[in-house]
Amino acid sequence: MSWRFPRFRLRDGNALSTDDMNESFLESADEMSGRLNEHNWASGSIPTQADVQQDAAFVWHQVGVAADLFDSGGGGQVNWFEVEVNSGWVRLGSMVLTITGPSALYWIHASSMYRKGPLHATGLPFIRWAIRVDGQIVPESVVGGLEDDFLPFNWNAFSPVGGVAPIETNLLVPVAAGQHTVEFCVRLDSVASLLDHLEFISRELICLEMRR
Amino acid sequence: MADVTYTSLEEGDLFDAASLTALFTGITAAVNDVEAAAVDRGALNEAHLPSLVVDRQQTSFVGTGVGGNHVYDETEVLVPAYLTINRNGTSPPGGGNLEITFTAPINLATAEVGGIFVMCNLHVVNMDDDTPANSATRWMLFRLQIQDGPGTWVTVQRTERALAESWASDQLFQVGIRTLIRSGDVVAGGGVGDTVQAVRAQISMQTAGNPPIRRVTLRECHLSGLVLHSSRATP
Repeated sequence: MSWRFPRFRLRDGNALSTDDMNESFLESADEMSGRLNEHNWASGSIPTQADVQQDAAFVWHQVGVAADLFDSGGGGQVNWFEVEVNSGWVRLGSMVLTITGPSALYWIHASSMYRKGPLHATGLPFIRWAIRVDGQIVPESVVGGLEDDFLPFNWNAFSPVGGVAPIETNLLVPVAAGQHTVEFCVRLDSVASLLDHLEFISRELICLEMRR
Repeated sequence: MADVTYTSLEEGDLFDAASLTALFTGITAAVNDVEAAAVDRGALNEAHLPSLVVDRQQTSFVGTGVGGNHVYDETEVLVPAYLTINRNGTSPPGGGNLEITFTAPINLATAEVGGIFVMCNLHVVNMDDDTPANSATRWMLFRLQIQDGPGTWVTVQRTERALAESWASDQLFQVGIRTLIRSGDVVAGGGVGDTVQAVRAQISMQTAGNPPIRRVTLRECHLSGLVLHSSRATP
């Protein structure tokens, strides 16, 4: 209740006045009309996290795939995902989140491990990873490129296969209320005579929807 | 706007228990259902709301100065076995495990948390046998494990990351692992229940099967876990 209520406090011996009574009630009613402020709640008046709705501030979205790096492929390399050369930006299979909610900040993390396919010649490919939001590759999330920071060491030395490396990227992006898609993508630009595909093993895409 | 219904007393109206009760009814209804618009903008602050961080733990191996190297070799661990990263800039082991333990076990089935967000960064100096002629490529491997309620460590398979070795020169490669530990991960890893007490990072490696032995040199290692009052949407 308002900290100022009642304006006209009745005391012993006072004459009852309907005007005073109306004033006291109307003031309180007025307070309820958008004027409740910090004085109406005691410090720490929401004492525990349980008093806050579980999804009031943070909602996790996640998709992950576990695969065995040592899967020999006898029964098919279970849960591996292959990306062909020169296919443009390709989503890593199931690495997509569809999120519907209020305007928020998305804190997105994408990580994976990949293995190169058979190398047919000496040379470096052009591999990039990125996070795609609502169909648009977000440039700030792009990692890789001609730099070899994300390539297995001694790329050219491994024959026929063997080069494995982990990669990770992240992004903080504001979104409007509504439905959005978040994807983990890769792009392999090269000449097929050098390398015709990459193989992705365990991978995970996480989005923390920060509503407040 | 809050919907407050108040009918003023007029001259001549009865001023008794019934009329007072009627006056209070509108106010009571409004107070019991305060709308967001009833609150002055900016009125609520950190003094009113509790922290929404349930727990946070972090540990780092930084060795001595910036990046003390620590070395693991194939006489200690070979895949499929793993060894907890357990030396802080020293070899032999010293400095404890690269492991975090939560203030209280986190029950992902009942606690109001959507998951445990874990970040792990491992700075690899190299995997090296100092023998360029030994061209058989081998991998160093890393993964995360979680400890269930009874105390059993179980593997989160999707966190496995590998890196091919170098020969003689340093790789200086940062292995980043990000995962959301979620309800069901304990059982999926062979544990019991839905409670997570701790998280740790592990290392393993392949061998070429011929001497000299492989060894992996790590530099800084960081592991952190963040538990928020949150929910998790089913994809």
